Amino acid sequence: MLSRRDFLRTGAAASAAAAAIPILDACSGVAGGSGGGSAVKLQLAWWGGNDRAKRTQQVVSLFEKKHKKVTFANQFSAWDGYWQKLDTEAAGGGLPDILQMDMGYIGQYTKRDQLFDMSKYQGKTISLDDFDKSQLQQGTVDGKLYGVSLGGNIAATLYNQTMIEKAGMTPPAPTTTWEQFASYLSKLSKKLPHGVYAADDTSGEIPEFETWVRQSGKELWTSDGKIAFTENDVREWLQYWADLRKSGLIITGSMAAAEAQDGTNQGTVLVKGKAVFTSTWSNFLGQYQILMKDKVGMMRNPLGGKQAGDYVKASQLWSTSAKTEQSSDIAQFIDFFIHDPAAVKILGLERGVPGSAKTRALIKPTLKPYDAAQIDFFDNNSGKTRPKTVLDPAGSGPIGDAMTRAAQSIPLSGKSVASAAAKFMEDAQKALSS
Amino acid sequence: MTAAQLRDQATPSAKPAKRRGMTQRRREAIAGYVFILPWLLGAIGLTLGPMAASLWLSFTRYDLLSAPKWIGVQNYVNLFADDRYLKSVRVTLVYVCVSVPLKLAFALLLAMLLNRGLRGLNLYRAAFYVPSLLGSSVAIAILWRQLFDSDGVVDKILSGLGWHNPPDWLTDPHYALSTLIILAVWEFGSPMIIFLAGLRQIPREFYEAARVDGAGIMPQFFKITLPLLTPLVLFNLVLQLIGSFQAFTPAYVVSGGSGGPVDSTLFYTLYLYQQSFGNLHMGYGAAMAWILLVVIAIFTGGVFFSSRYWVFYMDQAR
Repeated sequence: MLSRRDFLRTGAAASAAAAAIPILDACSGVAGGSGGGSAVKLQLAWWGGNDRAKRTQQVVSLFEKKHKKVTFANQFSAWDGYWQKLDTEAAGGGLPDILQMDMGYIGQYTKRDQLFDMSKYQGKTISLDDFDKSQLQQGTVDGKLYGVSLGGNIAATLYNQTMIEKAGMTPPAPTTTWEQFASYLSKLSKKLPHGVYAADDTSGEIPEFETWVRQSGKELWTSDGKIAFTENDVREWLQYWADLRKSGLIITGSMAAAEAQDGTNQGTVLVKGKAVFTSTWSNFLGQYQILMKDKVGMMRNPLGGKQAGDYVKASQLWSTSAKTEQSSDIAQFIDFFIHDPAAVKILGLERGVPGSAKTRALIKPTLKPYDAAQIDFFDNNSGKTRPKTVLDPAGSGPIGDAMTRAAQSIPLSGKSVASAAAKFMEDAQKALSS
Repeated sequence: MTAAQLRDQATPSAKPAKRRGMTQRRREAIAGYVFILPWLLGAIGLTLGPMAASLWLSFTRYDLLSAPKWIGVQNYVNLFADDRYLKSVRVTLVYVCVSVPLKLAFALLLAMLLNRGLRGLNLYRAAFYVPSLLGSSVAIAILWRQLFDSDGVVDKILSGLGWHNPPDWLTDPHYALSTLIILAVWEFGSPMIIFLAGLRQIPREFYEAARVDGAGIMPQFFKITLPLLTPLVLFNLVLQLIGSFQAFTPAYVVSGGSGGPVDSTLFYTLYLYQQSFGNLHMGYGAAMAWILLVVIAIFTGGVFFSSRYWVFYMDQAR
């Protein structure tokens, strides 16, 4: 057997090593810097699913074929973890040359001077004359072009049209209010097969809450990045969903938690056929439809208050690292991505409705019915929405997580609506103040 | 052969020239340092350096992108007013205190079963060991999530056995942590292999003598097996304790990075990760890491200290 001394020595060394190494070592990101000379290597980063990866890679190789000196190193991941990775790379000085940007983050990235001002290419290498104004404006911060929108979307309500028809009903009218929506769900719910709920629980989703808050004419954030909604707004929002839950119209708290844990399109209750209605970004119409046999329909989120709560959002933008030395090649790539006829046909509407009018006209005849429906939805409704001009502050990401926790705590931990709302306000204040 | 014997053998050849012996010793020392140089550089550059930096960062406010700002012990003070931090401490303590003893007991039980001269022993040994090789991997955590999903295999089996309304293993805050504890216990392979090696070394005569004296199975276990295995129990306990405090992957993957539902699986390291890389509170995260290091040191030290009262070494037997 082991002797005491040997044992203590190996044991102590092993434990010290095991304790110290994994936690205290920082992990390093992907190395940065592209090589000099005539050959140009560009790093390209985006988040998204398999379908997006496939399309993006095809466009990238198309570009590489036409521009022999440029090669790409692609990195993509799911939304979860994407920003953690980028921030780590940024700290190491190696932000990818081209990165997919989100409206929730563009404010903090420009504030930290991490993005390249592409204004000098606007109207030259990157032609934006026929670009949708609202999408163009979203990539422009303080008059400088920091991002080019890859597609517009609107927070919307998606539904399983086949199930509604099987239940002998028609989809809700486009002018449905929150109250009417609730009574519609209760009618529908009685006609649905056992185990199918009328609606998903999206009470923990900030974009849906944002629609609700904006309908009373407010915004979620002040222009200097503070909270502009009140605890009462949160309480009313959570109460609306608590009432639906009590009547058995929306999925159980446990199902909502499973959906949140899964995080993929395949894991949503709409795709699984366990709920008829859900609310998400309009570009998910096609993403869900390719996974389902039933037909998916789309309408605006329920109305309420005095004003429109929804807005056209640049679903994603291409931004350029402030440190890149290849900005002219990048500008060519971005223009290629939004205008080249072959490229835009590959990309379709996967990232939302293209900002360029020429591109929209070019791809419309080639689209699948569900994609054409997305363009129609956009054309019919984008004029009815109300533009959002404030930028999300740093810390809005963690506030989204806090909203999910607050929403879950009502069905899963038996918290009251009032205490969940109070807790959320506390967490939100903390996330912004630190 | 002991080191002393080796030295005795080595000296005669070195004896003739005493002065050269001195320089040779120095040369050997230099060669020694040269040999460990790569490791030394790594240890300083990749372990000690970053550790020192992280200690310093724990006294600063640092968002990774702008320069750190010294704020003294403010991070440490804030931690104890942060209810999510305190929740993560509770979750982690429960996880460690339940999963480690269960896992060791299970490992010992399996090791004893395998030690009974089973046919196909190697196969079983490998089969039981595989989970602990894969255990902390992302793939296994994903598998676990699917198994315990609401229409997963576990619920189907249970329903086949007549339990039609099993709890929501992963999405009910009352059960989610238990499900992760089961995952930890399932990775009993590496302590099992160590126990098995220990069991093989216990002299058979002890058991023969005990049987002659009429001792049954239980007395044999408590008077012979367990005392002789205590050094290995100590070894496994220390390693598992340290590992469990730092558990991260299962909670991250199973909860989709949130520690949910409602923070019920918010492991310490997961919250550390959320604060550091999600909220970019690097100084705060560094402070958390140092508290964890100290707590692990205290627990490990406590176990080592107590070991003199319950660990039995054969070479001390009288």
